[in-house]
Amino acid sequence: MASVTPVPVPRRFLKGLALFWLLVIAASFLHAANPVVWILENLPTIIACLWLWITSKSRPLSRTGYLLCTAFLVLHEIGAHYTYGRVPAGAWMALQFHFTRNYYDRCVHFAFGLLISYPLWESFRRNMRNSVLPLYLLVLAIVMWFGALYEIAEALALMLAPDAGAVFLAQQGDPFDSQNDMACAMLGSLIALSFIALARMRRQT
Amino acid sequence: MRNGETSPSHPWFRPGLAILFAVCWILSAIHPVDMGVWLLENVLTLQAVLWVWFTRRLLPLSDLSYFLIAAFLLMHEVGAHYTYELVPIGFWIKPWFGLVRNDWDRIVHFAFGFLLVVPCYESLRRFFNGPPWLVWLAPSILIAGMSAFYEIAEAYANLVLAPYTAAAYLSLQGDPFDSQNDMAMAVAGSMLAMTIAALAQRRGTLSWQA
Repeated sequence: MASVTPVPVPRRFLKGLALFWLLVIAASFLHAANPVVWILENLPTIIACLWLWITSKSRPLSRTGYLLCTAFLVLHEIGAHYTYGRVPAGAWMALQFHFTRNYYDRCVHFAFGLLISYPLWESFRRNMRNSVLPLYLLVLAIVMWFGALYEIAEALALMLAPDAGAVFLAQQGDPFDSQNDMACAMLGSLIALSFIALARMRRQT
Repeated sequence: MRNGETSPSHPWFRPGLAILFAVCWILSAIHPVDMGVWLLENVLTLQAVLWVWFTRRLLPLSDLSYFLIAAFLLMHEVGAHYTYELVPIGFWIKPWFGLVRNDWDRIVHFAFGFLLVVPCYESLRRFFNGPPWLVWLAPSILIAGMSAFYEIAEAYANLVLAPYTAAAYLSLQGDPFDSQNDMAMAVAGSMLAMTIAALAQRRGTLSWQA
């Protein structure tokens, strides 16, 4: 793989995006259905903001990478605003397709794999020397790692704060909730990585 | 570790380890508690053995790594022989820690992280370069990823094979957060091992090629 020097993203673009993130987070916080759950859901958001800001110089993403992160932020903040079990889009889906539970959380797990894989791929490309397949596997592992940590955090929250934790966990009566969530993220990531691989093959030939 | 260098191996170490492992594996196959569960659990062993065999030239590991892989697989074979929730060691330790279930599977999940993070580190180090914290964290990420994948495979095996063996294979034993606890053990094990290795490296007691 030839060393690709990414086109640097102008600082103005990043500042504009940061402002948009603040607006989205503020809009999600106003009249949030359950403020305690909102705070729990936004702990990962804070970590993501810090990571993106700190790495904006040392390992910058492309415009596409930042926009994909933003798309995921919007989906997650919608879930945080309504709490995942009660997002209207999920309730609408349940009505249309006769589901027994609100599947918005599954959709966001899938979206996590689908949207975050490319930014991760961009970010960790510089760490993998002259290797193609290991980089793809590393990205898949990182997506699964986040999935596992999120599920563990959910379970911990339930032990520490049973009321808010139950909403945060969003198990909704599915005994294999954690496995299904992680499987959705894995599937999303596999699709995204296939797209990246196909796009790169076409560019090289 | 710079491209493809591993510490020199004793000429008898790898064949000896392979023979020892094969003998123990055959012992675990003799009169297992439940043959169906034994077969199911050995899908994992088969995958591991095939991986080790086919990467022996492409990604050669150190003697220590091969030893740790064999040690982990034998712990797993103990679970496969007795089925995880009936392993005698799990019953012995129950009163010591006031456990409500047979926690041998938890111990093996911990061992998965603690022992196999070493071959993960060695394999990854050939490709991966970066700041030290990331070099030490990345193998743990691989362990967590594999652990999550195992939990998914376990759950789906349960759905497919529900009436027969999978309840024992899944070994929930009434723990609603079984999958989270299992993964937490693996992540904790791998992070502990990497912390020890990083500290030893810094003090100079370990010269692992980092």
